[in-house]
Amino acid sequence: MASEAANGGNNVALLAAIAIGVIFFAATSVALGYFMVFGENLAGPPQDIYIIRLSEYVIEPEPDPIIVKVGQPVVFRIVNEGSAEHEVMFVADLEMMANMIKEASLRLQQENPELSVEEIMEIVDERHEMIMEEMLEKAFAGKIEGEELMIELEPGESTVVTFTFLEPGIYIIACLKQEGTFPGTHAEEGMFNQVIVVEG
Amino acid sequence: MFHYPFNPAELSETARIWWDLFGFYLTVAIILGVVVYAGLVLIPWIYSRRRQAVDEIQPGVIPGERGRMAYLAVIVILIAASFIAIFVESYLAVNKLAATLEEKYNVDIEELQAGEADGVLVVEVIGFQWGWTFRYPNGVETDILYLPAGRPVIFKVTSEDVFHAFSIPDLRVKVDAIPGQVNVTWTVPEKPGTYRVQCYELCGVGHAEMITKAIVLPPEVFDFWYESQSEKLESEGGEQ
Ligand SMILES: [Cu+2]
Ligand SMILES: [Cu+2]
Repeated sequence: MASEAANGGNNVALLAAIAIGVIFFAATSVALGYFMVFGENLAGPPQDIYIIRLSEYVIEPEPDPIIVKVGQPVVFRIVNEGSAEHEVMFVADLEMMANMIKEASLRLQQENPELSVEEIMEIVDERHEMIMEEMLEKAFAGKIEGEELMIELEPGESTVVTFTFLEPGIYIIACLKQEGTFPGTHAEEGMFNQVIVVEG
Repeated sequence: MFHYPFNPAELSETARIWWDLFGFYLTVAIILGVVVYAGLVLIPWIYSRRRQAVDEIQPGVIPGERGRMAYLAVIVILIAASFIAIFVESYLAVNKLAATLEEKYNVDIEELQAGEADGVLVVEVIGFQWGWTFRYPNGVETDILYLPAGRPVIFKVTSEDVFHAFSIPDLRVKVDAIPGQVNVTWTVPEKPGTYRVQCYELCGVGHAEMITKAIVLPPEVFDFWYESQSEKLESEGGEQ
């Protein structure tokens, strides 16, 4: 009788050890699986705040890339760390916009050879500011909610803007300034990036 | 529970093949795991309920014939079947890797090796201590990998000095970079985004920092970048 009781005790201990083993195995498998599937780099979950650094000629978000949920306000803290004026501007057709500015400057330069490069950039900037803003408003109406779709920053300047994206998709942000790359724009040097908007 | 915005199998064509194979391995592992753990729990339980001790003398039965051959057969068949299944499936996946490129994207691999590929972006990847250079067909060299979404990309990977391994883990691209040898691999990135490019072969003190970015762009943005770089290169060439 005594030996049977001891046997029963052993069985309970054995089963407990096995249960612990099984639970440990399952837990480590799930953890490992989690890191295998979700542990790679693609920034992970969409964030609420992104820091966007501008310099010659890159737009570097942190974390990278920018992934945002539809309908959720996102804060961009934009910092110009470069030595030239830069901007962050939403563009629907990057090629068209960049060519428009490039061609306008070249035309102006041909027509008025006496103008300096700085003067041409200024005139092109002024002339296009209104057109651009209108175009942007039209292109992104119902897609992006925000105070302005074109944020210009002097060297060292920074700003905080809030956007709400209303449609999923890829939104291109670019800098179409020309300082240092005249007559081309900074975008042609690779100064663009993307905002990836996903369904919540 | 998970807020990951994308299905990792949808990031690229190679990722899809990889996750299919992974799913198969996982299924085999789960089946074997269930059998092993069921045995682990049930066998002690069954034997502990027996009144007779395992090694007790059973008159008329030779110890070697107490059903152990049957257990052994089951175990051998299970192990052999899992080995064969995994081998066959892996072999098929490797074949699928080449076949997908040929059938789905109409890339003629022989023509490609002869150096005349249409509609395919061929990027030369050169590893060095410690970084990567990406050379595009137009001659542009960058240290960030720009890729178009939805188009097949062929990587011709080599090294300048020691062994490296070129990898974009999220896109399931990985191939060794070996000096004096060109290794070829491919992918079709499908989701625009920024991915990590990393060296996966211990290559010296800078190995851990041998990381750069792969930026997958919508095709029209990639074309804009590519053409601007071509123009820039041409104008620079003209000035010299
Ligand atoms: Cu700029
Ligand atoms: Cu390396």
